[in-house]
Amino acid sequence: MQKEAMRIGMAVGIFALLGLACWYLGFAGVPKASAAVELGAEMPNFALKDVNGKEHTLEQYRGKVVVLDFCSHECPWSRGADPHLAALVKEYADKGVVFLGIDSHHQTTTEAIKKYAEEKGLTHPILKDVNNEYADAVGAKVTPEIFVIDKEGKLRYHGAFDNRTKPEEKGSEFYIKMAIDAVLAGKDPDPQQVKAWGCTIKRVSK
Amino acid sequence: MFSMTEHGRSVARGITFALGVAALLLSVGTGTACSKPAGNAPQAAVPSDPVTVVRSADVEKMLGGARGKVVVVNLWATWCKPCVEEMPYLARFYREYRPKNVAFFAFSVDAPDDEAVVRRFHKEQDLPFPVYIVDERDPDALGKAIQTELSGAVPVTIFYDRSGAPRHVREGAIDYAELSRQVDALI
Repeated sequence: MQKEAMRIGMAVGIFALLGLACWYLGFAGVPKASAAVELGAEMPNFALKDVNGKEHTLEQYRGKVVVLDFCSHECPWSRGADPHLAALVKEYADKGVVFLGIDSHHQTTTEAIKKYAEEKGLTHPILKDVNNEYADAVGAKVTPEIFVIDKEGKLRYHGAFDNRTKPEEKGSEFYIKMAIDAVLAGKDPDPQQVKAWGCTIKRVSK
Repeated sequence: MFSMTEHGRSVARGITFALGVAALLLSVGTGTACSKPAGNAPQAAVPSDPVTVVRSADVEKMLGGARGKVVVVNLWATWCKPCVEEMPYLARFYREYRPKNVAFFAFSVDAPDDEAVVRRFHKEQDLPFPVYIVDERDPDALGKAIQTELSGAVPVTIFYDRSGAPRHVREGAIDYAELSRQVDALI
C-alpha cells in the first residue's frame, strides 16, 4: 500500500516536472509571426499599381517565372541589393523571368520610389502595396524579402536575397539566382527558404 | 483542517523524492536534453569593454544569468535607421530602470568585422549600456537562444518576466513610453 502510494507520488512529481519543463522551454505567450505562404502553395493574386500608375496582377504573368522583391529605398539592405538585382533583371530579360519590386512601407510615396528607381537605373516595375495588404497576405516581414514563383503560380523560394553580411557587399551564396535557375530547369531550389537580417516593413496600424 | 493519512504522506514523500532527484540532475547539469542553463547559473561577467562579439550560445547564457529579473532584449544594427532613432529612448530606459532590478541587453546584428563601426557608434551616442555584436547570420538560431520567433527584421524588442519567459515582442521602433509601460506591467 505504502509502496504503491510512493509510486503514485513519484509519477505525479515527474509529470509535474515534465509539465514545468515544457512550459519553461516553450514559447509561452509569444505571438507567432503571421503565417507565410507554404512552399509549393499557390501565391495569392494581387492587383497593384506601379510607380507610373500601371496596374499589374500576378495572374497576368502566369506561364512565366516571377520574382517578387519586397523592397524599400529607405532600407540599406534593400538599397544594397538593388544593383545586384538590376544585373539579374538584365541577365534574365530574355529568359521569361519577370521581376517586380513591391514597396509595402506605409510612409513611402510613389514619387520618392520613382525618383530613386530612376537615379539607380532600376528598370523593373516597382509596385506600391497600399496599406501593406499584399505583405500581410503572404507574410512578408523584412526588406529585402524575395519570393520566387514558378510558371504555375506556385511559391518555390522564399527569403533572403543572398547571404551577405553587410548591406552593400554581395554574399557568397546567391540564393535568388540559384532559385531562379533551379525553377527554370524544373528543379527544386536548394535552399528553398532562408531567413536573414533586414529592415522591418513599416505597416499601417490595423 | 486535514489530517494527512499514511497514504497521503507517502504520495507527498514520492513527489518530494522525484522533485529532489530531478533538481539534483538539473543542478549537476546532466540534463543534456535541456540546453537551457539552470536558474541559478552564474551571470556572464559584464565586460568592461563596451563592445563585445558573442555567439548565440553566449546570448542564451546571459539571459539565463539574468533570471529573477525582468529582462529587456533589443536587437538592432548601426545600419538600421529606426534602431538608431530609438537609442536615446533605450539609454533613458536603461538609466532609469537599471536601479529597479531590470536587466537590459542590446544585441547588434552588425557584421562582426564591423566591430569598429559599432564601437564608433557606441562612443558617438555615448550609450550607457554595453553592446554585444551577435556573430549569427541565422535569425532562427538567435531566436532559439532568446526563445522568440524572429522574422529577421530589426529593430525588435522582447520583454521577459522574472521567470525568464518571453511576455511581449515588439517588432519595429519603440519609444520610452512603451518600454516603461511594458516593463512596469512585469515588475
